[in-house]
Amino acid sequence: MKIGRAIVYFLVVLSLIWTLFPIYWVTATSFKPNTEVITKPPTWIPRNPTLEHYYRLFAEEHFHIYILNTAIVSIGSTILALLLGAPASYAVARHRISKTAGRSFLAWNLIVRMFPPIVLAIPIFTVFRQAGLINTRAGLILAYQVYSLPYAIWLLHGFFREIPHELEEAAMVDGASILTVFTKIALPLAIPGIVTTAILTIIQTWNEFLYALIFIYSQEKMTITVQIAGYIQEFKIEWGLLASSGLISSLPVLALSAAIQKYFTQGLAAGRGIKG
Amino acid sequence: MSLDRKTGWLFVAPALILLAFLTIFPIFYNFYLSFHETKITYKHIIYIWKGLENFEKIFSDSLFHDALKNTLYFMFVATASEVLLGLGLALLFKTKFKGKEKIVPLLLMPMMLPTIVVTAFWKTLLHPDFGAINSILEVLGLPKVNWLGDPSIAMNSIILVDLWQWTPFVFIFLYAGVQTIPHELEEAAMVDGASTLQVYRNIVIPLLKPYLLIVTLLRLIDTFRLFDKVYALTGGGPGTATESLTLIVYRYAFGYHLLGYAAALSLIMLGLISIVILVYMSYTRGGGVL
Repeated sequence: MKIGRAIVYFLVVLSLIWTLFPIYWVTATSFKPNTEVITKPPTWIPRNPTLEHYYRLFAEEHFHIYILNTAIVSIGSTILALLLGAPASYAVARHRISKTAGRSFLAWNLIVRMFPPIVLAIPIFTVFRQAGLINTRAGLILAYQVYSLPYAIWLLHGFFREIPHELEEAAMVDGASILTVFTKIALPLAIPGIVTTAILTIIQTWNEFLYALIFIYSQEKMTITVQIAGYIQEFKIEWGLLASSGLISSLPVLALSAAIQKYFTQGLAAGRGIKG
Repeated sequence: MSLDRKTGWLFVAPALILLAFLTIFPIFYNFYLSFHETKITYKHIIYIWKGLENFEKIFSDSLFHDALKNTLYFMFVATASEVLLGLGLALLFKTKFKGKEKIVPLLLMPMMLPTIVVTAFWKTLLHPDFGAINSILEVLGLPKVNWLGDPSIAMNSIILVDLWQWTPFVFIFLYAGVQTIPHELEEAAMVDGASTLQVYRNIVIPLLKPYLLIVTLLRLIDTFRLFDKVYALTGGGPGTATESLTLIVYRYAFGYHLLGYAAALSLIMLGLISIVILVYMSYTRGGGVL
């Protein structure tokens, strides 16, 4: 039994090292001066810690612009997905459209989330090009509905189904319209679910790369993921910039996902039709 | 239609219209494009009817063959490794030990990071000269490995990165499954004299089967899209060693502006992944709604 214990602890420590070492290494790199990054053998702990890379990231690379762009796009697409998704998922959850129609609608939302995104990109791009939506944040927000809208609809549908509907029925008997019931009773009750949905949708768009790469081409409108991909591909790599930009970009999503830890894994599975 | 139903449809209509434009129209438009060659002018797109020519070209396109082979290899090897490792971790965390609740969130960190950031992390780890992995190998007296530059290794390195990022997802998914297994069942078997191994093989694994199947399908669907990692780490190289289907469609469409050809390729992608989607939808009954 003693040996069994020891093996369990050994494996747990091993999995922790495997998971955390890359994060530690990049964090250490971000604090090393350029000369130290390329010394051999490498220093495992920064010998002359410096903030120069973080300073350069904002002072010279203007990384805050990409953070701002990403924030605008991910918050914008989340708001749009909630505005369109909330009434739709409410109507389906309360069977305001026929059950068959509601089910087909939900099933289609699920299927769409499993499509490779590149498959939808060519037609959307072609139409956006005619409409002058290419290289605009509004265009990217609209294109992101491929991901955000079905995701929000699935998550919200689950939340609306969970809130009790007796109150709504009582209000209906008193002559309240569906719109009143929805805005005055259902929405306030669903606020925790809506916040969770919003956070999960923001994380998803914050991390997105392919559509950001396709739909935006001017430097001043780029999102962080496209900018970081640029750092990765440089012929002469700036290790400090690569490390610091990666860490800075991860902080918001790490904070957001910690805030909804319980829902995070459920969220990854939900919108894919599994209850966590 | 009752008044009730009409308002219901008004609630659904905006989402439905946008969704139809973003997801149904593109499929039909891809079909239309795939039978044409396009000439893009400043204002217009000129379509030239080509029949099945695009599809014929695809079957003799060696880049397509390589990308298909690589994508399937990545899909199956990455998924299989992630499911096996994730299952191992879930079973490991089934045992009681100190600090478990604090360790689990730490193990989940990789999957919360943006994929492109994960890619950036591993760029610094896998670099042949200054990377941490080769430095460790050197310290241990082992030969250095050209992780991304050797065509016979490059795709496996991409799999390693995916493994780091997504094994936590498989782990937490199966860990949730493990916790649904009633303790009484195992205890009863133990009382009846079953060994730990027998308990795992005859009780735990069979009860985890639905979870295993679903998480496998989810990973297959996700790995099929492979793009970010190969785009940023290898650009599909060395040679064509890490070309993926999404990567070549992206390049044909947005690099060479061969919209008809790229549309035909993307339809083939859609056809391939539809098999997995169908299995998924029928197994989960459309996520529980059908």
